Amino acid sequence: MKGQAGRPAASPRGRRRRTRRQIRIGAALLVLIYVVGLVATFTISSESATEQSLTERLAPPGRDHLLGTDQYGRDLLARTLLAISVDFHAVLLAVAVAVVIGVPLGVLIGMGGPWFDRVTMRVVDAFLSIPTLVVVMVAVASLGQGLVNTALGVGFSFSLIYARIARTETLNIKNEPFVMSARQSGVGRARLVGRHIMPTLARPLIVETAVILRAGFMLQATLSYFGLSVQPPHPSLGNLLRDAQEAAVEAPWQVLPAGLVLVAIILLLNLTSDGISDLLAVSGTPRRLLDGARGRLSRLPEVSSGSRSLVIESVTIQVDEGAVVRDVSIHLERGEVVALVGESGSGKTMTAMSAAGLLPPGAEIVAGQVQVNGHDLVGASPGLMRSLRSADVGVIFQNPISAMNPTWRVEKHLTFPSVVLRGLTREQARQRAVDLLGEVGIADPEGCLRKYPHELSGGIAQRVMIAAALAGEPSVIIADEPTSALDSTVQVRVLDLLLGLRATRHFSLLLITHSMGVVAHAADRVYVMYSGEIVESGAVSEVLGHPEHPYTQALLAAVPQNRMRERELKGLSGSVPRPTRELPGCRFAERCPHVAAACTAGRVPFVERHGHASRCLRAQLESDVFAVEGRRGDLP
Amino acid sequence: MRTPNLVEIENVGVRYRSADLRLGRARNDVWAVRGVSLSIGHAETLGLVGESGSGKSTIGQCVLGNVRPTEGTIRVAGFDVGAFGTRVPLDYRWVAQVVWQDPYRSLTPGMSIGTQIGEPLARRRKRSRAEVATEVARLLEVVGLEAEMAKERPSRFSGGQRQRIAVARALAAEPRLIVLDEPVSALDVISQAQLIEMLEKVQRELGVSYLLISHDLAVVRHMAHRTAVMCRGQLVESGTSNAVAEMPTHPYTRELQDSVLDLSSTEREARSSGRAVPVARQQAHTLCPYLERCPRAIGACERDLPRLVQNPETRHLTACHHPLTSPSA
Repeated sequence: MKGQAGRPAASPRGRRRRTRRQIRIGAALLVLIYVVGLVATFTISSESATEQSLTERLAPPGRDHLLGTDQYGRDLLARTLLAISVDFHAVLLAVAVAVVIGVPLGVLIGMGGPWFDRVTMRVVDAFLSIPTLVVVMVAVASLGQGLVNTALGVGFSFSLIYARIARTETLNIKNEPFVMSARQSGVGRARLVGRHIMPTLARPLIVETAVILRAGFMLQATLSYFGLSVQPPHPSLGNLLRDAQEAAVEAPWQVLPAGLVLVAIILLLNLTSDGISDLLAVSGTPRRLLDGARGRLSRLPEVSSGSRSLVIESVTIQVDEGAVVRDVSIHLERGEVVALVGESGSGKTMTAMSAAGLLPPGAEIVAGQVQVNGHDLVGASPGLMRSLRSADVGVIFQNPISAMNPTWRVEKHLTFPSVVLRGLTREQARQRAVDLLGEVGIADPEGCLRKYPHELSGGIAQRVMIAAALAGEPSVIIADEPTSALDSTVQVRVLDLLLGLRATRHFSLLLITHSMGVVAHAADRVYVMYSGEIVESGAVSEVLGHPEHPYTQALLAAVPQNRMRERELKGLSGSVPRPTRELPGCRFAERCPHVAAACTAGRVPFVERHGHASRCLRAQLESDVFAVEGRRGDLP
Repeated sequence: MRTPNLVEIENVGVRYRSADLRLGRARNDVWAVRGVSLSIGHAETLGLVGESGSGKSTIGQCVLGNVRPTEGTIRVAGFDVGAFGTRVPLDYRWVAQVVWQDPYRSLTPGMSIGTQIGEPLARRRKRSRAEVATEVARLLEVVGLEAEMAKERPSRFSGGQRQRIAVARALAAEPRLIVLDEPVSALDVISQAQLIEMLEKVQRELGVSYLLISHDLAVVRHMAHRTAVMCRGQLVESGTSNAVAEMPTHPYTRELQDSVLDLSSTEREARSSGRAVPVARQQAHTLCPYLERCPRAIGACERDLPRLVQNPETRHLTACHHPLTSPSA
């Protein structure tokens, strides 16, 4: 992140690609090292590596011995090459033993009752507290020395790590709806574990395995260094290092071949495992929420931006598979409530998050402009981005509890930004937090400050979230489905609260929702999105009263009207085409009841008439007819 | 034996004990549900409405046999569900099935949907692979998906499609009852409408009963023949959906009714103070559960628990000392 201020912000998509390449390169080189070692075992006789020749002691690198010889006159190259596959096999055996014992053990513990879990986990913990080296000593003492026995000891010790992880993950997923549904389907216990639970564990275990492999190589080298694993004169990396140490005074270079191979293996494992955990890591909303709060900031100078606080113009957003938001333009007047409606997958959240600089990893604005109070966001330096994000744009997420840091009390969520960004004292910040909580209608602000996020009900948590968004006194608030996770009674109160605050604090509100009821209740203007495009926009009364686009009409017909039971719900058939799919004409054509040949012939323009715009040829044709006739009426 | 009702719930109460296993700690017991009686007829949909924490999902879990009621009885198609031990008998799985709220978490990620739908089929009767495949294809068509989709994994499908798959899997067990726990609340309106239509069609064709649990009164009104309203563990009103929706007699039902945002709700006047109402954690179930929030509370409400009585005018049951009367009266 450092030093990127000069060039355009690093694209997250590129970062992902680089991460994948990093994993591929790391893994390929590791395999290469292993294959070289394997080939060596078939081409180099073990005698040439173990036979001592006192006449050739410590020969320097030369024609006969490319890397020279050790103090017993053995060829160093041959010994190093032969050592590679020995170490690989020892580590792979240990990890295999660990997985085979540990994973089933962990799942078993996780599936058992709470008492079984308590007792067995204490036993596992007791064993875990014994250092691996001691476990290996015991294995060697009872089974004898040698590679296989030490690998068994290491494997047993590592298996407890796997057992712990597998147990935790099993506890997490055994009450997931998909496991409960499988049980409800009459699936037996064995199949439940084997087919439904175990495959789901793979992800966390893969990340852990990369770490364990690294530890395994270090341990294997240590063990043979101490003569516990591979027995001299047979070569292993640990043995070679010990031999090199004995000859260190006479021939210090001897440590290089084995040492470098070991370092290379460890570094490549690091490279691969870092890449894997980056790639599998879930993007954390809480962290992103607080991104804006690093470093002290001053409010940006006012740039004249006219009456519009947010302008998104002709924005196209791409992910790996293609465009998910296509040429979208949206604007918010100061103090206006604008709704962005669409089905899931229509790109509405992506569009709105582009205005907050919170696009998910892998998504990137490839065309168009985003302006907040006249400041360009596309290509902005990270510093400017942070200022905009923390001071000018407030974000309210759908699920408030998961958007907060679970280890922070409400107080810290509300005071941290003011202390860090505005330089307030803790006392001032606390008073401000109390005021804010009062403003969002929380009856006992002091008590609420002391609570952790999980102690809040959904409605209260959403109010805290709103207070946090207000803390920066933003001019734009983006609310992503702020009420859909709430009970309907709470939903109305939270919406009314937002509208009330808008009136007193004069921010503009971009409301992302799929509910036409919310639109009707709260918004001034509405944009309807379908498959990555805006298909209709205008004043709420216009769009809801005279919808032009057949998709908007379908959305309205699908609302279960509480007071009109007789009205049938008219669901469209089919589903939204993925926004990434390239389609020649209207993207709604394949579901449209009025589709004509012209609809799929070419791109349909977005035509505006008296502030009400839509992307539909039929609607445009009809309005032309009305224009000629000079009146509105019902067409067949 | 065909009884008039498929499901009979009588005076059910569920007490959750605190999970503190340490000795010498006082238990902090909570009644999630108290004194609830309900019935569901054959091929009938009963809507169970209430806010989160009202105990509606607990009732669903009791009917499935996953939660044992502390008191009261539950009978479903001849099974004494309340008396099940920790393991639900396999035979009962073929009577009651469930569809959960979250479409993104209710299917096993790595397994093809055909395999998942086929699991109950293979388990219930010995069937050949080909027979199972044919049946899976048929079920996919019943729920409005294509037979070729059986090979795909869940990640390929949208939320609405995943809920259809969950319904297909429930139907594979040939159940008499499906518990629908907020089946559409995670879906957008169009997918909602599609799923509701499909569920209604399935009921007409197969005669299955639904227990529809939802906080959305509009959806319940649309789908359910009868509606029961729960508030903090107690039943406060029940009757035919039309009666409950058009003439709510309990003030709580009225509040739920008023909070439905439909297209006519363009009036912007704040209808409530915007102040958050605290939810008391401890419930004694000796007074009306709605007392703290009720605008119509009278002296009797502070003294004793209102019983469910039939309202002579609307013919539905209401537990309220000071019920609302119909607008015409």
